[in-house]
Amino acid sequence: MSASHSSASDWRPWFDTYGARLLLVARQWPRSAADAEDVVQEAFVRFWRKQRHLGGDPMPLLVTSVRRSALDLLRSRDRREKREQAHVDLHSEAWFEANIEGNDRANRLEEAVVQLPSEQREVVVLKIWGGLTFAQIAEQLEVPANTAASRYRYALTKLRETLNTVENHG
Amino acid sequence: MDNEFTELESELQQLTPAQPSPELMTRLQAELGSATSEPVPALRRRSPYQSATTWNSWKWANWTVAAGLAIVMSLASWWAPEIDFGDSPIASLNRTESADMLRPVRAARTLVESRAEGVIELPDGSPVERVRDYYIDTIEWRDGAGDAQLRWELPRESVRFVALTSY
Repeated sequence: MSASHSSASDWRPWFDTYGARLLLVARQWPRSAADAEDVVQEAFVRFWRKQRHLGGDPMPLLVTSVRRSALDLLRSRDRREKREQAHVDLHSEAWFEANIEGNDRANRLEEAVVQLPSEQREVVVLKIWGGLTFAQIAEQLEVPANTAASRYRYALTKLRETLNTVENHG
Repeated sequence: MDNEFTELESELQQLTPAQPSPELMTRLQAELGSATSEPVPALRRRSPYQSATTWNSWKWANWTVAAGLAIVMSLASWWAPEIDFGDSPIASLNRTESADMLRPVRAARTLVESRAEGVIELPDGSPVERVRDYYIDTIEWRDGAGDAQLRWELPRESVRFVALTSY
């Protein structure tokens, strides 16, 4: 890509690469897909206009921007509304693309990820789909790196146990 | 320490996050469609040691740095012989005082990429995450009397170990 490309198409390849991953990251805080898209829109526009020239790996910047927008949105909402929203949206909106190959194990894994405790799930999402290091995750979540790593390990242990339990009894 | 979750991590990476809705794309188009066109960073993470067949590779960057450094040193010895280049260039930023010589106007350290290289075990048995950071150190000089300017860029990498005592 170069400056000679039309402005309208500049951001599209970028968003094709990062958009879905950013949306999944955003889903960790405001749980509805609509809210998450609002958050991604605000964060990506801010990044594109003000931060894309900074160089380096853009994902930590984008994640920071997404989280900031998400927390701003949460703070602006009534606490009761947030609880209701979280309950409804966890089970009503897909976080992943449909598994068209009918892979049962993949379907169970998706469901198990969604059902993880939120503090473990956000670490898994930031690590696997955000591509962040434990140090970067720790910075994002304002927790020690050891804590981030522990949550990740607990989460993966739980995912593996869930898969094994279903396969052994299913 | 072998990562006992490698297979599970691979399965997770194969799950594809849901794509943004067409409505979001439309809204972004409305907001960014008229944005001014400027060079954008690379789309994907890129190994700094890929083949030297492109001008963007770090091998070419090293030659550029070497050439730039030679120019800077020769100009510095001509214009500002009192600058001590024996130390770090960043440390020398405050040593130029005259207005009619190249003066350092900017020093920056940019983190280009941090790549997690997995969890390993130290000789004492403690687990750590090995993280390789890629930086570019940049210094710019400007001639106070004219428009001449020089930029010095040095790619650099460092490896750090993040303690994971609870991992």
